[in-house]
Amino acid sequence: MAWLVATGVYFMISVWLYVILSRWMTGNGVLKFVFCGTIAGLGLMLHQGLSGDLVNLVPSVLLYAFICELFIFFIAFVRSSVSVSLLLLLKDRPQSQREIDRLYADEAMVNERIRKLEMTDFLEKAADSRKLTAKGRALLSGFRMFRRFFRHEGPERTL
Amino acid sequence: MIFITAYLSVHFLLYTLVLRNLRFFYQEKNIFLYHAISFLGVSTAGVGLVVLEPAVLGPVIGAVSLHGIYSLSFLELWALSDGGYSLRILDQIDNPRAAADFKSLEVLGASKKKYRLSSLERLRLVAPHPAGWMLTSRGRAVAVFLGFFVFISKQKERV
Repeated sequence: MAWLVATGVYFMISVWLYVILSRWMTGNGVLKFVFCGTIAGLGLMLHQGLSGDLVNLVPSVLLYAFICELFIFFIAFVRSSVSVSLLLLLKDRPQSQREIDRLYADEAMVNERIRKLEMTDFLEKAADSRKLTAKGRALLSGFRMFRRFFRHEGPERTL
Repeated sequence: MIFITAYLSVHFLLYTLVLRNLRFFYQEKNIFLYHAISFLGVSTAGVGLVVLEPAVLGPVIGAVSLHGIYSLSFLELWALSDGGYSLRILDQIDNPRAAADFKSLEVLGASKKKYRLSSLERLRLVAPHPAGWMLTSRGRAVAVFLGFFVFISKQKERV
């Protein structure tokens, strides 16, 4: 059972490292957690190795990786989901449809996403508009490959 | 571990070779159920095994974690390649015929917002209020939970 406790403790360490790193520097939250999670994960492997409990090394690393992936899912979700931002907006007080429409003005939503894509180097300003960077082009080709694999059709299908 | 790896390979191959071509599996809900039922089945079988033989706790937790990693990665990729707003923006900008057509992106943003509010209402997370929209008690619990991730992800302000 000690390996289960160690897994939980090293996960908490990764979260604390992430909180400290987030307060200290700007940048992509997911990448920051991947960095912190990797450091703490290596610590967990070392801990398991030194404690001599090699039988439970693989289960503890798999459990740790699963919890970390769930955590990454949530931090990415709260940063990008329209549904989450609507829920958080309504947490303080009820909002009128007009207030929601104003805060989520269609143009503002597009501009905010474009700003984030520029900040993360997926887009760059061109002469009269914007164009994809090499990083953006690579992401898009991966996205198109997955769309074909999952048999997603026209853009209007799920909206 | 060999058993769960073989099981997950069959689960993935079944989707790749057969199920992804069926219209039934074009829907998010059905893809989710395909993974959720399998995950619950493996977890239940695992609990049964642990009750019969407590020494297998480690391998069972490892197997359930591996299934969790596989299913979460699969579902995230499925959802992202289907409806990711940022990816749609990149796709739109990369399309030479519609490079400057930000109007269609605004329409996409507006439909996303409308779709999300009705989805949140269907999930009983928000409800109509005389002033507009309010959180239900379930919605408040979810908002507090997600607010935790916003709080710990709080970044250093950009200067």
